Amino acid sequence: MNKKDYISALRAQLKRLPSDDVEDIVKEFETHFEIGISEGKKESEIAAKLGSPEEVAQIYLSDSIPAFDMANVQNACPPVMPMVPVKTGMVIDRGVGPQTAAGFATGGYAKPLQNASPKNGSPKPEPDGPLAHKGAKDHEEYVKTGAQTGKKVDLPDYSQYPTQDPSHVVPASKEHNTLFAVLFTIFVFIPAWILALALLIALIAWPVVTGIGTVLLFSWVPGLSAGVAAGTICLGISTALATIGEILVVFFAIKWFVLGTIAYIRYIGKIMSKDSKGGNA
Amino acid sequence: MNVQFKKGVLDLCVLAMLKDSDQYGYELASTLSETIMISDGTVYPLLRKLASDGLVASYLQESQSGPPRKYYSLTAMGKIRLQELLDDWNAFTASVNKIVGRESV
Repeated sequence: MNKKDYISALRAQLKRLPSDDVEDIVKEFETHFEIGISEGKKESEIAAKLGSPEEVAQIYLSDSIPAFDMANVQNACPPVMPMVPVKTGMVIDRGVGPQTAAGFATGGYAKPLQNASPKNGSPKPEPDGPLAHKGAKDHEEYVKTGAQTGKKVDLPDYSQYPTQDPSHVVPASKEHNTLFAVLFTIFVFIPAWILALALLIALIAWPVVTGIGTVLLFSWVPGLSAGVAAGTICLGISTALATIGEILVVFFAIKWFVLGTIAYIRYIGKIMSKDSKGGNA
Repeated sequence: MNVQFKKGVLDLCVLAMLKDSDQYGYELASTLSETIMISDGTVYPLLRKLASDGLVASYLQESQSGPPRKYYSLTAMGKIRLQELLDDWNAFTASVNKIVGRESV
């Protein structure tokens, strides 16, 4: 195998890596060939000593899966897994600081908590909905990638992890959540709700008022000329047509008004219940 | 030599070779492939891994003959790691030697 073939085979094998990395690696092997050639070696000789491009690429690819070092993980992050729910349902899914080792080793996510055995008498934690699934999915992906690259992937014994209810991880932010909810309700939600209600009433009232007005105008002013009467009838017809359209508009307005109100009340309820759960850490 | 043995000590060998002087990949690969019979190509991924772990640093330097060479040097962290690996190695070989019946090499 000559230099050109070797390099292109290597490049093809590495295509899963970021292109910057591939260029870096390829450059190093090109240099290796060039130095060898300058020492009077044959390209095929150099290639044979390098080992096959497949073998070499395999090492790079398996290195790109973070190796798992149980000892490091335990030293780095004794009590806490990187599953940190913060307020209002946001989730940090990559660990920070000392938690990074575990996050890194498991492909960014901790194992879902449900299989972990509680230690130190802490309550058995509940998996945190979407994150738990994501963690499990990434975990699977991690194992699969390991299998594809042919490298033995040593999986940690997750049951050894000390686990904790995630609410212990983030200091209780009861005041913050509740304050936010109260202020938002008073200054944003209630004014918006009143405005929406007023618009809704106006929307419903408008055809009624104009319809009645037309009829009244027609009957209460007996001295109207024929022209004015005809004009009034036209007005009545157009009002009737507009009313049909308005019925649709009003239907959706009521629907979204009601749904919006329900959603908001549920959301506030969630915040409050989170506070009461996290408040005793 | 047993493949597992080689893999285990490759880090140690590379770090130890860089202890006294900076070297470029080709040099390291040649020395290692001659002494512990590994293929040249395995040295480069290892260097890359050591670099990403912050144990070695690299820089380019022109040479009189041939292309510019990528030299590797030991970082402070690399020196610490080398010492740890050396201690491990010495302790390990000492205990293995006890078992296999040779007090010292």
